[in-house]
Amino acid sequence: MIKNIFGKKNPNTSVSSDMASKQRKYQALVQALHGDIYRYAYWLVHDQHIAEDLVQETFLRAWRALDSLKDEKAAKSWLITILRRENARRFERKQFDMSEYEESTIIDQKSASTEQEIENDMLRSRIKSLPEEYREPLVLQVLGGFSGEEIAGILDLNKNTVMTRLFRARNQLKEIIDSDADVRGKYSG
Amino acid sequence: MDELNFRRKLYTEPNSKDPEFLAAVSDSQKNKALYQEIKNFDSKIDSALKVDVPDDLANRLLLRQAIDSHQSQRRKGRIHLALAASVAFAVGISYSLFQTQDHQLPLHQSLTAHAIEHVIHEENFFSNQSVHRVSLNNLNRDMQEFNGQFIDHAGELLAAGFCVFDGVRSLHLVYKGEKDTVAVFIIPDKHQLDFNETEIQGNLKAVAKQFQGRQIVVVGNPKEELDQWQNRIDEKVQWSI
Repeated sequence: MIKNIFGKKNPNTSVSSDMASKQRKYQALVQALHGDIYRYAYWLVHDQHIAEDLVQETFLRAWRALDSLKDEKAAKSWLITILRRENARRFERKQFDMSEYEESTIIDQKSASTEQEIENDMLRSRIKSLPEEYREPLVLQVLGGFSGEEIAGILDLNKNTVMTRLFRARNQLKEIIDSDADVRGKYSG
Repeated sequence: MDELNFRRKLYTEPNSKDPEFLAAVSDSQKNKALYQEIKNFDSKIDSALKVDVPDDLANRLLLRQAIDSHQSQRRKGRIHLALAASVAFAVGISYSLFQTQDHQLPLHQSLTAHAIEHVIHEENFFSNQSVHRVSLNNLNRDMQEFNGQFIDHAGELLAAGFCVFDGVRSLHLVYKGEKDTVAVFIIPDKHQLDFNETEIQGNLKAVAKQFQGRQIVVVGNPKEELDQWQNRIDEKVQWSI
């Protein structure tokens, strides 16, 4: 997209080729992963605006530390690690810097009209109410596609702990959802 | 695999390719049914987790990086052609950091010549093929400074940003034209330039009009209907002062 904006000619700058390749690498990272990282942040903080701020901070740090990312396949877990660190830092700071140009974007919240939308919203709120130590591994596994070992690495836990938490996450969630369905069934039946 | 272990494995890693696990799935109807149930459940979880991502997040992340590297380069004492500023501008987001960025244009006596120079200086950064669009809300947020509001878009707005016009903070809009982009400048009447109505330099033409306390200059290819652009802006903008 940036290419379209620049047109055919190159901008008349004296950007070194090192810098140019670093920028390309960064752009590729943003295009490929900003969505996943945002979603992960959202499930961490449950707030769209805080999630956006967190993602901004994360990618800024990633840009500055980009040279230390050697294996591009590890980019996602690298970014998530940075994000988690930034999230921890939130509680040390008094407030986030809100840059002037940031505006509130509104997640399209259509009124839940269909059965499916109701179910989806319900599931979202149930996921939010899972204890964090169960929710996190689940999000990493389902959204992030990470393996047990990878999750253990990101969360700094041993693999058995991760497995137990994944089990409990699904188990709890399923129980709640099943009982929700029962309740709805009773009222609609 | 016994029932307990099967269930445990299923709830922990439903996508496991472990042969023993997969064998257990096909082992019994009960297992198969439970497997399907959990797989379905997982796909619902996946949908639920996939909340909407803000539309322009990627742009803002790229912008932030551009600003950051621009700032660090300024600290190192080198002033580039404000690539970051142009990127900021090009992605249609105004950023007040650049309000003091005069593009170091030679002083011109006439407003229209100055406008043409300005467009020439930045012509590499805008493409008529750009798919980016600036929203009416964002445009009007910028317009507040100039005491005007667009009741509707005057065209397809590719970019909007603040720039400096002979030391005066102005608004620079870039619209999609017939063949090439059309620039519109909204300039408060505080500058030292001479007002003139029209100017042609090379393959650019500028048309200027006075609107109470400000001037509006439209710059584009002479073949574009620049007078019509002026009229459209006139129609679509409500000025409060």
